[in-house]
Amino acid sequence: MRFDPLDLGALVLVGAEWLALGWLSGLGFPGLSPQRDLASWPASAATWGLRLLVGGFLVGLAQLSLALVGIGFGFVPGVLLLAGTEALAVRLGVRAIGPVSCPVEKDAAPPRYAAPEQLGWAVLLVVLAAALVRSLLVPESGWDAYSHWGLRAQAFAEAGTIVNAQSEHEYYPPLVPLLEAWLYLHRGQISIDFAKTLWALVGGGFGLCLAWHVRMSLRPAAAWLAPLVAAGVILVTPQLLDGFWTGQADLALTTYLCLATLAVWQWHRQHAGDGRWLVQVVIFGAAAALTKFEGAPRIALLAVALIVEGVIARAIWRQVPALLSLFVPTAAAWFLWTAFQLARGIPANAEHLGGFQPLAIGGVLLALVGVFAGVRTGGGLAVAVSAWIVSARTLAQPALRLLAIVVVVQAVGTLVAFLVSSTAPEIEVQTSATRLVEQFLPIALIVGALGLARTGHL
Amino acid sequence: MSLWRRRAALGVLGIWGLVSLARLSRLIDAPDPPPGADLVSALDFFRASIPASAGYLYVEPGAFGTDTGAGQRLRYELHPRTYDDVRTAVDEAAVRQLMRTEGLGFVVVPDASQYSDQSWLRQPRDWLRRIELDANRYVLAVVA
Repeated sequence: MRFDPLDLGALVLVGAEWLALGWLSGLGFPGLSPQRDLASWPASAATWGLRLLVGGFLVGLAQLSLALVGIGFGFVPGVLLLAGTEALAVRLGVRAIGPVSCPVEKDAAPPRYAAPEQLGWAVLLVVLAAALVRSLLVPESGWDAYSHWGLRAQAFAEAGTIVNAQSEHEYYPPLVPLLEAWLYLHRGQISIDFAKTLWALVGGGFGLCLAWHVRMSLRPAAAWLAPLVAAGVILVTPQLLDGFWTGQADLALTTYLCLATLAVWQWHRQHAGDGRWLVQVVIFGAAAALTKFEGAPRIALLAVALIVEGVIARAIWRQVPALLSLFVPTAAAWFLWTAFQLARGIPANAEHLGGFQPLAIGGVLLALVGVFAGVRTGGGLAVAVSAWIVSARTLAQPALRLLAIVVVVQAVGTLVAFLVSSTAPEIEVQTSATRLVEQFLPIALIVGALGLARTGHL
Repeated sequence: MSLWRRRAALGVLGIWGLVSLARLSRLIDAPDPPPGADLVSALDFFRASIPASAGYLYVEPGAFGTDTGAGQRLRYELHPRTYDDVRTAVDEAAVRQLMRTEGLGFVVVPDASQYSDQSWLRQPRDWLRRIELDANRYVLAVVA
C-alpha cells in the first residue's frame, strides 16, 4: 500500500480543471433547470459528473491538436487555453441548439428527494469514493497498462508531445496515454501507480451520469432506485469495477460508449427531441473513437442499431441527425489520428484481424461459457440475461427497443470479432471476453432494470 | 401482472443485490500483484547492462495464454530501449536473423530456469556473451 498526498493534490487539480472546462462548455442534462433542479445535490452531482467527463475529453483533444501541429502539450497553460476555446465553441453550439434551461417559475422550489433516494445517492457516492481510495492505494497490476498505455503515457510526458514509445500497440488511439501524461505534467513526476487514479475519477463521473440517465427513464415512483441501479451496474460489471484501479483504458471506452449510447437513446425516446443530447453524442462518440482500437467499430455498431430501429419503426429519416452526430465526429477523430500516424511513420495495423472462421463458433461459445461461469466474471451477465427474460415483452416495445437492439448488435459484433481474430478464437475469448463484454454490459443491465420497471415489477 | 412474473422479478433483483454485495469485497481485497513481480530485483542490473539507445529481445518461455507478465513489465521498465519478443518455439537461427534485422543487441534472461537445459538461452554460443547477475539471471550480448 502506498499513499502520497502530492498525488492526491495533482489529481484534485486535474479534476478541478476538467470541471471548470465542463462548466464552461455549458453542457448539462437536458431537462434540468439550473435555477431549480441544480439546487438539489443529486442533480448537481450528476451534472458535475458530466462536466468532468466533457472537460477531460476537451483537454485530451487540445493535447492531440497541439501535438498534431508540432507544438506539443508540455506548456500547460497553452493546453488549457485551447481546451477553454473548445469549451466555448461547445457552449455556442449548445446555445444555438436550444435553451440552456427549462422554462420554470422563478420562485419554484427545488424538487425534493425522498429519504430512500437520498440514501441511494449516498450509497453510490460511497462506492465511488471507496473505489477512488483503493485506486490511490494499490499498485498498478494491469498487463496492458505496463506494455502499452502506461508506457506511452511515460514517453508522451517525457517528450511533452506524442512520440513513438515502441509500445505493444503503437497505432492505438492516444486519448488515454495523453490524459495520463497530463496528470504526470501536473504531478511533476512519472509513476504508473499514480496514472491509474485518473480512471477512478472518470469512473466516478460515469457512475453519476449513469444514475441520472436511469432516474430520467424511470417513472417517478421508482426514481429512488436509480442510484442503486447505477451502483449495481458498476459493482456487477467485473472489469468496469476493476478498471477504477487499473490503467487499462477499458473503463474509459465503456464510459464514452455507454454515454454516447444513452444520449442517442434519450434523444430518440423524446421523438427526436432535445438536440442538446446530440452534443453529448458528438463528444462521447469522438472520445470513444480516440480511446481504443475498437472504439470506432463500437460506434459504427451503435449506428447500425439506429438504422435497424429506423427500419423497424419505418422512420429511418428520423434517425439521420443522430447518425450524423455519431458518424461525423467519429470519422473526424479517426482520420485525425490516422493522419498523425501516417505523418509520423507509425504503421497502421490490423494485427487483431485474421480470416473469418465460422466453424470456430462452437468452440467460441463453449469458451464464453467457461469464461462467464464464475460469479466474479459472470454474475453481471447472469443478472442481465435473467432481467431480459423476465421483462422480455417490454423490450420489444418502442420505449426500450433501441437500447435492446444496441445490446444485441454489440453482442453479435463481439462474437464476429472473435471469429475473425488472428489469435485462435477460443484463446482470444479467454484473454479478452470479459473486457469486451464490459463495454456494453452496463447498457444490457440498464435495459434489464428499465424492462422490469416497465412491467410494473419495480 | 402474474404472480410468477412478480416472483421472478424479485428474484432477479435479489440476485443482483447479492452479486453486488459480494463484489463489494473487491474494494477491500488484497491488491493484485503487478506483472513480472519476480524480476523487479534484477531491473537495475538490466538497465546497467543494456545502453538506453540499444534494443533487446525477451523470449517468452511458454505458449500464448501462459505468460507471467514478465515481458510486459520489462517493456515498461527498460524504456526507452527497443523491445521485441518471441516464443521458445522460434528456433535459434530465426531469432538471430530477427535480431540482426531489428538491430537488437541483447537478450534479457530474467529467469533461466524457465527454459529447457538444452535451450540456446542456457548454453554457450559463439555469437553471444553472457553478462551475469547470477547463474539464473543474465543478459546475453550479441558479439558476432
